[in-house]
Amino acid sequence: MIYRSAQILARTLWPLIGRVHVEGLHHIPRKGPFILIANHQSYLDPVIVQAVVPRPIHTMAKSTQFNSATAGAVMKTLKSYPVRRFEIDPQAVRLSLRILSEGHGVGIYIEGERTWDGRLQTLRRGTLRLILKAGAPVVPCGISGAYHIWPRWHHRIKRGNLTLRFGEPMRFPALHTRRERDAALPETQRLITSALTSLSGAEPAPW
Amino acid sequence: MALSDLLWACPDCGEVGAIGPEGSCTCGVVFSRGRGGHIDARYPDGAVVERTAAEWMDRLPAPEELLERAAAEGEPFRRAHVLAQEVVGSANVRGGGRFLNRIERYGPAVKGSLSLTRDSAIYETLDAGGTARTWAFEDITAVQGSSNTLQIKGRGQPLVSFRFLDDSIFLWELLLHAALRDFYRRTGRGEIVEFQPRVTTDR
Repeated sequence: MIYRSAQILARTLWPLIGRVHVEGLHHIPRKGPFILIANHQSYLDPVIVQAVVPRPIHTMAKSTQFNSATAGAVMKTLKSYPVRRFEIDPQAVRLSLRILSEGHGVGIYIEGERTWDGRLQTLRRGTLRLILKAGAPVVPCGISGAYHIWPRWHHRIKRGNLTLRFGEPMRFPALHTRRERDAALPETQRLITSALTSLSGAEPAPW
Repeated sequence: MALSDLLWACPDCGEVGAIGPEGSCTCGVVFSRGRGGHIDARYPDGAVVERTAAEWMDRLPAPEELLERAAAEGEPFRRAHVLAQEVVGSANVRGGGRFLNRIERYGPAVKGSLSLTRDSAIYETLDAGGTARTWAFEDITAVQGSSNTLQIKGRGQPLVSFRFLDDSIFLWELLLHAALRDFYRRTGRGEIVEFQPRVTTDR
């Protein structure tokens, strides 16, 4: 109920910032688990993705965003859950798999942090491993325009247009051993990078 | 964060750390946000050049090149004033009737300096008798660039989060990555493929 209200609020207020163009929303499965993988251009990304996707998305978010009671309460209301990024975090993986096994959608910004210069950063291998462990359909989402509205290096939002392009669900089999997952990492990384660059128009960063 | 966090060197004169938080370089060029996420450079003769952030970034020196230059001048390679916060504990987060995860709790912010050498990163507080923490590169388990902090985790040590007071966080992240890569190559440990959640090599 609160999540739905937040969606309506975001959709109502967004015209103050600019227009949102959405393509391929029909690629979000109507039922069953899915992993939504997006590039990360600005703080606005999760707000707008959750506002337009009809099904609730449980978004993995960095643990520091739960440090204050208020921010933590907002994050939980928006169905976010924390991940500790400076050490291997089995609980974040367990919870992601549990949410998927309950038939829900999990959202992950696979670069791990907002882009500095608009380009796509290296994908996090931990997330790729999670994808290969879960075996759930992966819906790639390319975000473009958000960087021009609020780049990481500037504190002010400028009006602008944002485009969300959802791609066809990608199927990766659930692999049961770490060895199998490690062997499949390079190809998985190549396929998802290719999907995100093509959907967002962002080139891969050189670092 | 400021434009000087992104443009940690001047794309025009190449001087590292020459751009102030307001975007002015000591060479006279003033950088500012242009259309959307584009960046304008205003030259002393009045000419204005607009490029994307990525195009400007491609004109900056490679971090490896900076390390080579710094090595020729002696250690430390770089030093910056920082506000440091150590993780002092953790707290459980619950939501929707279930346990979500543990999150870290930080201690007070302490002013100090962070130095980068050929084989280590060294943090010293500015207080009299202040403690020092040294991370030999072989003991660094993770390097994490967050929104406005750089976090270092050492083996058997708490996570420490640094906010840079007079230097670019992006430059520090790139330099620390480059220095760790160089250390791993020199010591035959392999090629680093990931800096978090754990420094991992291709072996």
